Amino acid sequence: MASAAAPAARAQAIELSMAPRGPGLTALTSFLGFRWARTEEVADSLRRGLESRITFTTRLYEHRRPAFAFAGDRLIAERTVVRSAFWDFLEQVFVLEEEGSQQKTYTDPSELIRGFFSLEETFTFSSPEAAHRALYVAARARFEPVRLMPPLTLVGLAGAAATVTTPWVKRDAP
Amino acid sequence: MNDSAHGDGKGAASTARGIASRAAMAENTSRGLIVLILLFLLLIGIIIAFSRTFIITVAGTDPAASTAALVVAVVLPLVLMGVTAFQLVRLVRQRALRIPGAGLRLRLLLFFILVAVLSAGPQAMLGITFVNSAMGTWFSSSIGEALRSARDLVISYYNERVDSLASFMDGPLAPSLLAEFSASPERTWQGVQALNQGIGALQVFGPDGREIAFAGDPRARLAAAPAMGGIQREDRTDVVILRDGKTVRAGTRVVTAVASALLSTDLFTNVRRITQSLTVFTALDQYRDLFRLVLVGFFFLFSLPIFFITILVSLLLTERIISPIAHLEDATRRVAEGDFSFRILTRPRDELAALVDSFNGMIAELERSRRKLLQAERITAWQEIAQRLAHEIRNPLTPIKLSAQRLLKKYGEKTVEFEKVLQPAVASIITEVDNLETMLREFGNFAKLPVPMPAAVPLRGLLEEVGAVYRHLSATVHIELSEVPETLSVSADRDQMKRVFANLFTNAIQAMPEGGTLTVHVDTVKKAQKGYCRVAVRDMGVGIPEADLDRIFDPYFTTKKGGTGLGLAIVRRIVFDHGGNVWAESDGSRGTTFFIDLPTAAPSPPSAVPNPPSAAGGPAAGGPAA
Repeated sequence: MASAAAPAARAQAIELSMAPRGPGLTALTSFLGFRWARTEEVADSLRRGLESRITFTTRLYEHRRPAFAFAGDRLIAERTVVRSAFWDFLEQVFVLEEEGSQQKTYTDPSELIRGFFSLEETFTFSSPEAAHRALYVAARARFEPVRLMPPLTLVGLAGAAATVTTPWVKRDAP
Repeated sequence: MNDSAHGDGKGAASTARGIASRAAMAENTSRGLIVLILLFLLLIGIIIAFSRTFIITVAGTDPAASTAALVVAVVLPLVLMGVTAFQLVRLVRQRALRIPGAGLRLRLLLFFILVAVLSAGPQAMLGITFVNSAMGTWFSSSIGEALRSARDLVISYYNERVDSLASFMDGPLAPSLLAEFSASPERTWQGVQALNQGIGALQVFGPDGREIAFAGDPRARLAAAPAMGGIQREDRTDVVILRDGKTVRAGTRVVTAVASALLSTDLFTNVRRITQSLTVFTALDQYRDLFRLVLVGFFFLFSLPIFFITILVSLLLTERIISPIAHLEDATRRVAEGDFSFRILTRPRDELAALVDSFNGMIAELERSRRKLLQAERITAWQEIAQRLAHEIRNPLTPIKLSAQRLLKKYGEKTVEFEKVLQPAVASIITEVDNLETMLREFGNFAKLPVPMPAAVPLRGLLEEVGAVYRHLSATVHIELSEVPETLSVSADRDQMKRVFANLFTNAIQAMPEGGTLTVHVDTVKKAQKGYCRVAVRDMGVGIPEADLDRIFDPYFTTKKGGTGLGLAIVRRIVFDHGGNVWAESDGSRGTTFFIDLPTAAPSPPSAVPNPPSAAGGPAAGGPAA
C-alpha cells in the first residue's frame, strides 16, 4: 500500500490559507484546498456508481511560551468534516453529502471537484481578546478515491484504491 | 529432562561444568518452549479479536495503525521464517555430523510439518473456495443486473411521473382546463383527475400572486405563486413534490397555474439504498480478481507465522522427546569406549526415569565387574611376571654358581689348573651378570614408560631420522622410505615413537642377516570418523610362524637367542597409549609386515614443525628389540 501511495503522494497536497483577523473580530476563518492530479478519474468513477470520500481535519492551536514549549502547543479546537460524493442516477447529477449539512448537487464535474476538495472552516471565540492570541491552524486531508466496504478494503494492501493522507500543514493566524 | 554426569571424582570440574551447561540448556529450552506457546496463543487471540478491525483499518483509515499492522504482518513472518530456517539447517547439519538423535528429530519434525500442512492446507483451500463461491453467488452478475434493473425501474417510474406532469401542462387541453379551473375548481378538478391521475394538486394564482383556486392534496398547496422555469422538485420529510407552472389566459385575466405530482419519500429512500448497494457491487466487480489474490495473500499473512511457530514448537518438543534417548545413546557409546564413570541424571517425573535408573545401575555393575576383572588380571600378570623373572634370574645363577664353585674348588686344591680356570670362570660370571643387568634394565624401561605427550610430528622426518642410524649400523639392509608422504603428520610423543620404530627396524634387520630391503609404506585410513595414519614396516626375512603371531607382543616372549621378549611389548604399550593399534602379518617364510595405526594430526606450519636431531632420541633410547 505504501509503495502505491507514494506516487499519489507526490501528486497531492493540501493548501491552507487564513482570512485576516480584523480588530474586534471574534472568529478565525481558514480555507483548505485539497489538490489532486487525477480529478477526471474521480468524476468517471462516480458516474460508474462508485463513491469517493474526503475527510478534512482542522485543528486550532495556541503557541506556548518558550518556557513551556516542552509541553507542546495547546489544542483549542478540532473540527472534522467528512464529505462523500456520488452520482445521483435519478436526477443525473453529482451529489455532495456532508455530515450534518444539506446535500448539494452539481451537474458540472469541475464544480463538484471544487466544492468537494475545498473547505472553509471558521473558529469562533467567546471574546475578542481570545482571537488575538498567538494562534495557528493545522490541517490535514484524507482522500479515498473509491470508498470500499470491508472486507474489500483488503485490496488496499495491493495498492488499489489506496487512501491518500496529506501531511499536516500549519499556518499562523494573521 | 535428562542429564548426564561422571560418577567418580576424576574430572569433577568438567563434570560440574557439563551438568551446569546441560541444565542451563534444558532450562533455556523449556523457557523457549513456553515463550513460543504463549506467542502462539497470543497470535491466535489477536487474530480472533482484531481480525475484523484489521481488515477495516488495513486500507488506511488510520495510516499509523495500518503501517504498524503491516510492519508486524511482514516482519513477524520474516523473523519466524529466519529462526525456523536456522533451526532446520542446524538440525540437518547435526544429522550430517551423525549427532545422536538428530536423525530421529528430523524425521519427527518432517512428520509434524506434514501433519500441519495436511491439516492447514485443506482448511485454507476450503476457506478460499468458500469465499470465491460466495462471491460468485452473492455478487453474481445476475444480482448486479437485478440491482440495475431495480434502479432503472425506479428511474423510469420517476421519469414517467415527470413526463406525465409536463405533458399535462404542455398538452392542448391544458389552457382551456386551467381557465375553466379558475372559474369552477371543484368541477374541473374531477375532469383533470379523469384526464391524468398523476396530478396530485392544481393551484391557480392571479396576476397579483394571490391564490384564486386550489384542488387536490393540501400538502402541495403553495402560499404564493412560484417562479416559473421547468419542473421543480421540493423534498419534504414526508413527501417529495414535483411542480410545473404555466401562465394561461382565463377570460380577461392572465393567471399562473401550478400542477403538482406527489411522490412518496420511500421511493427516494429506496433509490438511495439501491444506489448504495450498486456502489458496493460496482466496487466489488471492479476489484474482484484483485480481491481474490489479496485474500490468498492475507490468509498466508496470518497463517505463515502460525505455521512457523508450529515448526518451532515441534522442534522444541522433539528435542525434549529425543534428548533422553540421545543421552542414552551417548552414554552407551561412551561405555562401549570404556568410560564406565559416565552417568545419566534424570528428573524423578521423567517418563524414562526407570530406564535411565536401570541403565545407570547396569553401568555401575559393569564398572564393579570390570574393576574386579582388572584386579584379577593384574594379579595374574604379576604372578606370571614374577615366575618369568624368577626363571630368567635363576638361569644365569646356575652358571654363576657353578663357575664360582669351580673356582673355589681349584683354589682349594692349590693346583696349577686354577690359573687356567680363573679367566673363563670369571668371564662366564661377568657375562651372566651383564645379561642379568640388561634384562633388568629392559624390565625397568617397560615398567617406567612415561605418559606420552602428543604433538604433531611429521612422520617422514621421524622415519628418516631413525632410518639414518640403522643405515650406518647395517650395510647389507637397504631402508626404503620413498612411500612415506612428506606432509603427513601424526599426533604422537616424538621420543616414544622413535623408540617404536627403532624396535621395529632392529627386528627387521635382525630378521635379514643376509641383507635385504626394509620398506616403510604409509596410508591414511578413517575409523569412526577419525583419521588414522597406517604405517606398514615390511622386511624380507624368514617370517614368523603363524602360531607365534598372537604371542609376539606378549612380555618376555622371544624366539631370539639372548632376547628379553620386551621390545614388541614396549611397542604395543606405546602405540596403545597413543590411541592406536599394532599388529603383524606374516606367511611364515617370505617376510613379516608390522602395521601401526596412529591418529593423524592437522598439518602444522613449517616453522612450528620441530625436526631437530635428538640427542636422546636415537634408536638406542628404546634399546634393541628382543
